Amino acid sequence: MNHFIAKRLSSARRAGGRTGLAMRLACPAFMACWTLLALGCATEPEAGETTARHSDPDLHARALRTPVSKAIAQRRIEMSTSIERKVNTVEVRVEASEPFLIGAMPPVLVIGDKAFGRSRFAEGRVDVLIFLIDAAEYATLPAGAEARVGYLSSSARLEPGKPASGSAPATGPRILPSQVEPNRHRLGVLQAGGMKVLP
Amino acid sequence: VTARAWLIRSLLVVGVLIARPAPAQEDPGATGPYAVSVTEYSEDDPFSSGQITNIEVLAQVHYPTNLGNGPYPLVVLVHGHFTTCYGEDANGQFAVSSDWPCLNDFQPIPSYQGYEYLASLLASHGMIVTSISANGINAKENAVSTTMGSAERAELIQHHLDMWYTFSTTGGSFGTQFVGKVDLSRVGMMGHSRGGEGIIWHYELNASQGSPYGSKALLPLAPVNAFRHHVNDVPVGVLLAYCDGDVHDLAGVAYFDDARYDSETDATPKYTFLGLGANHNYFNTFWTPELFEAGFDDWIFRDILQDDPWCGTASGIGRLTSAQQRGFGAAYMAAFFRRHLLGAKQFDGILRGQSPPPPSAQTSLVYSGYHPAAFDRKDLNRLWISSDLTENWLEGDVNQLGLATYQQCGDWTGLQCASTGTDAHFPSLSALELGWESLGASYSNELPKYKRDVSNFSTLQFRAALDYSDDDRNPADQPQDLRVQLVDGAGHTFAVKVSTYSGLLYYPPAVTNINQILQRLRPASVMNTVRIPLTAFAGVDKTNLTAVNLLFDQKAKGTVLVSDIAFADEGTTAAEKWLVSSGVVVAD
Repeated sequence: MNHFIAKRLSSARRAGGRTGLAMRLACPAFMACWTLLALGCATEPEAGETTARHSDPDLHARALRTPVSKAIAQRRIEMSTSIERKVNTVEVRVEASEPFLIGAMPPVLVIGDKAFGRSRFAEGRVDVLIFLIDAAEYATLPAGAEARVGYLSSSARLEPGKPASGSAPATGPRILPSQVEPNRHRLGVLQAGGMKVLP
Repeated sequence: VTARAWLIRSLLVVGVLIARPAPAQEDPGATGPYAVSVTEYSEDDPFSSGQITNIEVLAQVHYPTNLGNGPYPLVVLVHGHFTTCYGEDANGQFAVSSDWPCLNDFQPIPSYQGYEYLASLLASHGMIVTSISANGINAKENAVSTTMGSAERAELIQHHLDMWYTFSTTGGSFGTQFVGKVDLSRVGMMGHSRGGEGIIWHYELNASQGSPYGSKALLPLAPVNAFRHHVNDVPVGVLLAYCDGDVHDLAGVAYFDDARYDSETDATPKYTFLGLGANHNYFNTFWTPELFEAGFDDWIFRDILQDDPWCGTASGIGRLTSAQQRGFGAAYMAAFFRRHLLGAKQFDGILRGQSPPPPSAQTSLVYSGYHPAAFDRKDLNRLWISSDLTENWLEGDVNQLGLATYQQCGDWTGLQCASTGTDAHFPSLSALELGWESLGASYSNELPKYKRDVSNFSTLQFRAALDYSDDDRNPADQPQDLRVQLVDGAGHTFAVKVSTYSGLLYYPPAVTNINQILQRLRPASVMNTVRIPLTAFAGVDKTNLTAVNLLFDQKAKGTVLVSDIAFADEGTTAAEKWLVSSGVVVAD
């Protein structure tokens, strides 16, 4: 274990100890949801403030029960999109006003009746998702198609994608729009020159 | 492999642990007799799999300090998808990224070290535990993997097992330390989240290579199940978290459901362990907010305001603390691995749901599903195909009397058994929906002549759940109950209440439709198993049993779901011994 990690761990584990960084526990600020609501944080201790630990059941119980501020929870996440065309790929860049939440289920971009599950984060950032769409497939998308982002439903059953072959890159599993969580975030509509973001 | 440079990172003796006096009922979560040491290994050359390159080869190892009593079985732990790096942003604030390798001054998030509580427990009982890092896969799998990283995780696991082959034979970077001390014919695996699907795929990969390593126990922990593979001929225990906000439909239950009748010679059992107060993330200490800044409560995926009355942390009453959740996880995972890698049969009651959760689990709200090995069962009614409504698997008649609802649901029927909330089993399981509106209804499976001797079996078992979606018959928060009656050829009968043996007919907690996001998600219907000893049916001749009846005479009305009715006996029968000795099946 390197020293930095060891320091962070021992800091976090030391009952009654203090951390050197602002802790964003009850509501991680790097979380964002795909719904029209944003996640908020009711308690965000300042640097050096004591944080709840499992070694203190009472403290932890209080932290676990901390209500999330409805005002903050209902804060709207702003998203913007841009499109960049590469040789064989079109990259749809989705930038959010809050970092995205990262869990087991992958993010999916739905445009019209197509869903695209290949994505990566922009270098060094988790508030910018870049969806990778085969250029030929992108060209078939109808103008005016509505675009949304969401998570793949954990109940989705998929077939593996195709491995790379020749100059063709590997494809991710084929995903249907119906396999994306219903609480999707509306991005805008597709226009000939790119994505038009709704106000 | 020998040409590669290995780096031994650290060696830390974490303490000598003295064995406790044997308690009346052994707690699988209690620390064992072995002192434990911990070390790490890594490889300078990164690993590549599919389209993913630059995968780190790094693992943490917990092992009995005194290896002299080896060889010990090996347990591999595999974490799932999470952010990969952390550090401070330009404003000095904590920040994360999903790069790999980490950029600038950011450090790797050591998800692979997040199961130390489990690894040290297993090692203290005589297992070598290696927890492997997969950040390199996490950073790239959504972009380039054809399998959401499952194939890559499988290959990475096999690569680590190849390393352990070296460690245990010629030594490699560990020198002689592990030579002759690792039993690679007894390998267990725990995979969390996407790691859960990864270990299922690894089992298939290893088998496709002629099974060079003996996978003897698989434990998918809150696993994803995107590709619906399943495996037979290996014990599988799926640990499920009711308040899982990430894999919210509890998709891993299909690893159990799909495997049940896929092989008529499967000599190994399947389990599910459902913890009603657990979430997805808190099994890993680095995904737990009070232990590491990048951690978060995944239930917030589903419930922004955390106001679900059970799982919500703002006003809910059902959630475990993270420490309690690890207690639950450690107890059941240790019981599973000790049972199937070390032969510790004293935990069978806990694993099969016949014994209450041990004290170390720190919760009483754990329910088990259990499917015995093929040779340990006599299936009475699988409730698997449409004809099961009229004729059971012993070719006996099936009848009902006075039931208002009598239909199959799930699987091929296309009907969800629980029409609201989450039907965790859909579409992997068909079940029988039994609804009654007055006392005295019944459901009967007859045993035909020449098939009435069940005296070689010790237990009657079936899976069941309360159907909360029928709110006309099942009042909110009220458990159901019914009786099981055996009848013999002389007309002797005896009936017992299900609630005497299991609380599995609980009303699933939480409500539907409290907001747009929770709609369809909770409650969740999960079928668990009740096991009733045949000795409980006093005065009934088990050599001449004519019928097994369910009597709906405990509640005035209700609806329950039932499947997998079977007689069971886990003792080794003469026929089973012959099959093992003749090589037809492999002994568990």
